[in-house]
Amino acid sequence: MIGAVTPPPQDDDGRHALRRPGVAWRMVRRSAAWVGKSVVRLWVVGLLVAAAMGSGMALNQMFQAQGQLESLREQPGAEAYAVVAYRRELARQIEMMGRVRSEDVVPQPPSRPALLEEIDIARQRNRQVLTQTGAVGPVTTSPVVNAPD
Amino acid sequence: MDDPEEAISGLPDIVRNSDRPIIIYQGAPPNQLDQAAGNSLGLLSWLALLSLCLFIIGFCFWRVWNPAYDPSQVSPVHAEGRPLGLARQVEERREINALASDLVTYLDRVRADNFDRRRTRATHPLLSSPGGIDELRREWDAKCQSVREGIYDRRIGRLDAQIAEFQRQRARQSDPLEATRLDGALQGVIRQRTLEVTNRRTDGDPALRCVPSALAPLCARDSKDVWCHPERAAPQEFSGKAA
Repeated sequence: MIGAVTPPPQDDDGRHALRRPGVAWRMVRRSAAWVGKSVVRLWVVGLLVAAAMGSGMALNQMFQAQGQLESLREQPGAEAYAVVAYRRELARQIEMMGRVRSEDVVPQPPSRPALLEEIDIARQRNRQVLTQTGAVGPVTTSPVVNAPD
Repeated sequence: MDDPEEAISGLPDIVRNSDRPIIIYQGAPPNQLDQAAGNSLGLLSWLALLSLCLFIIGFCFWRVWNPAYDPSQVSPVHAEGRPLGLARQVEERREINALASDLVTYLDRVRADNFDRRRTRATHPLLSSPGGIDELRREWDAKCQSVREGIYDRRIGRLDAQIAEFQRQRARQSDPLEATRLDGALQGVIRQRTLEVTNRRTDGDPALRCVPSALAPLCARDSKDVWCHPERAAPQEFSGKAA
């Protein structure tokens, strides 16, 4: 009928609908599913973000280590490096001589790098200076040169 | 009786008589397969990205913290060889730099003291500290003497064994001609033993003379040893103007 006014649904109907068996449970299930899905999505995205951050940090650390190594390689020069390597070679030969006991030839010492030879000459001259000027030479006040730890 | 084929292909009465719209899809509803494909693609992309990130993390971690050593490369510090991990390489290089620092300053100081004709008080840990070059040289010379003694001991021991053998043969020998020959051989071995003992005492054999490590010859120009020309033997160890 035209003009007939349909009465508005009463609130009691909605409340009664909620009280109907299954409706409330369905809503709870839907909410739980939505929350579960959101948590899973967040976890998945978070995992990817964490992995990306981890790989970025790992790359950063690797490049930092490489850069540090490059900067350390600028010093000292090859001559000083050779003296350190000479020391290692002496130690290696001593170790080898202790291990192999059935040789029929005497070992030859490792040849000396240029800087070490200069140091040896300078030290030898200093000892000669000592013997020429007497046992008690003037004690200098020059500072002791020590490498930093 | 109804045709069974028609009954199968037709819709059930309950559906046909209902007032609800009947939609029949052929295959799958539109966009439904697209969504499934999109989900699979997303999962694959996610897995690929995650794998890439994990691979990068693993690679970088291994590159930095690899604990292994490469025995084919000489390390001036480690007996095992050159470390492969970047962290250990940095540590090794720091140690080398600490050991080698101020060597030139030390040399200048000693030269200046020589010029002023005074006793130098300058020291350098690489040379004079425990485990330094001076101590290692002393140890090397002592070991060389020990090797030399061992060689003489073995030589004299062999001669002693020969003498004992000749003496045993001589005691059994009844033929005077053979006995004379054995006596001659025995005297020869005894002379040789005496010579070896003398050489041992006086260091008379040049072939068995130990060269003091402090008097070793200078590195040859074309030497490829890392302690002679490290810039040639290990060019990767030097960067910038140091190379």
